[in-house]
Amino acid sequence: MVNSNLYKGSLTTIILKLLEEHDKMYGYEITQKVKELTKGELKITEGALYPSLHKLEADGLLDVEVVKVDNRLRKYYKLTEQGTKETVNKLSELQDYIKTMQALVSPKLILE
Amino acid sequence: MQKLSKEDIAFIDTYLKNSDIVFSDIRIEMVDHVASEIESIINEGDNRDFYYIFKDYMVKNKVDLLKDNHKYYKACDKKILRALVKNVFSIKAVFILITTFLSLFFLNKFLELNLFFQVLRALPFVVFLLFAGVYRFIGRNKNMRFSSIERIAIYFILIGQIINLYFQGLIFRKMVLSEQSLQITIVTSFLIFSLVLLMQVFFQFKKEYHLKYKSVL
Repeated sequence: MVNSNLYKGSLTTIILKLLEEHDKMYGYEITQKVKELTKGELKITEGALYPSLHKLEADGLLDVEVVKVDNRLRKYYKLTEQGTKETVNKLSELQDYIKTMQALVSPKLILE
Repeated sequence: MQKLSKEDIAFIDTYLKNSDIVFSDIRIEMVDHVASEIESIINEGDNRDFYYIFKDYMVKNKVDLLKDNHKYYKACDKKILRALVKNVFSIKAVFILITTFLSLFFLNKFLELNLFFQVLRALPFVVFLLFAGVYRFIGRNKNMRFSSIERIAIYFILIGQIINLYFQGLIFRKMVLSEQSLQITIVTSFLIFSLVLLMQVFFQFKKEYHLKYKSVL
């Protein structure tokens, strides 16, 4: 498994990107999707995921819908209008960051 | 896909409730997360009884789950402050503040000064008690406790304390003695305005929770 510290700063962007693609998702579904997409390389813990979701909700980037599913209540998250705009900004920031890191660790790749 | 029974879900819910996760809006998704994990373990072939799988899961993850609970309070307080700031700078808030001030200002013209000071002293307490009553009777839901609604009470108590300190303290007595009616009117207007503002945010949250949780309330 990879060093999860490297992903910490990108967790918000990962969540926003997934919600941009999936309309609405619940917490456990997000952890499983990340696990599936990264082939088990990245595992998001509850202690990291939910505070990020709650922060995004408090910031007005996510909206919440509660539905009864399988004998229990499920909290679905979806992007607000502001959240959709912020996703574009965050993704652009992340891409710039990746380019910068690539330039630092493998400059040849950039020149090609 | 095997799903947990109502009793199993109730067991997880009670366990988390007893672990100090008292607010429903936080507990709902923790219960769902734990239940989903356990269902996944069962569907992967673990034949043990629910209780043993749950116990193992909790031994591994309880600290992480509780950590989330504390972080949620921070997000919740941030949400309250954000709502307060947003409301302070609204046209409605400016209107409330000016109306309160003008009402008290004109009251000063009609009442004898000592009586006016007594009214000013009593008014914020009356408003506070009135709002406390409204909060107590319509704020709390029988089955569900919502974090933002309950944590806003901290701000009510804080303003209640400021009102108490100001009107029972030396500053107020000195201002009365030197007949600074305008200054007292301004302070009283701001205190009443703060209470109205909090009440406004409280109703906003109540409406918001009602919309989000309409399927279960």
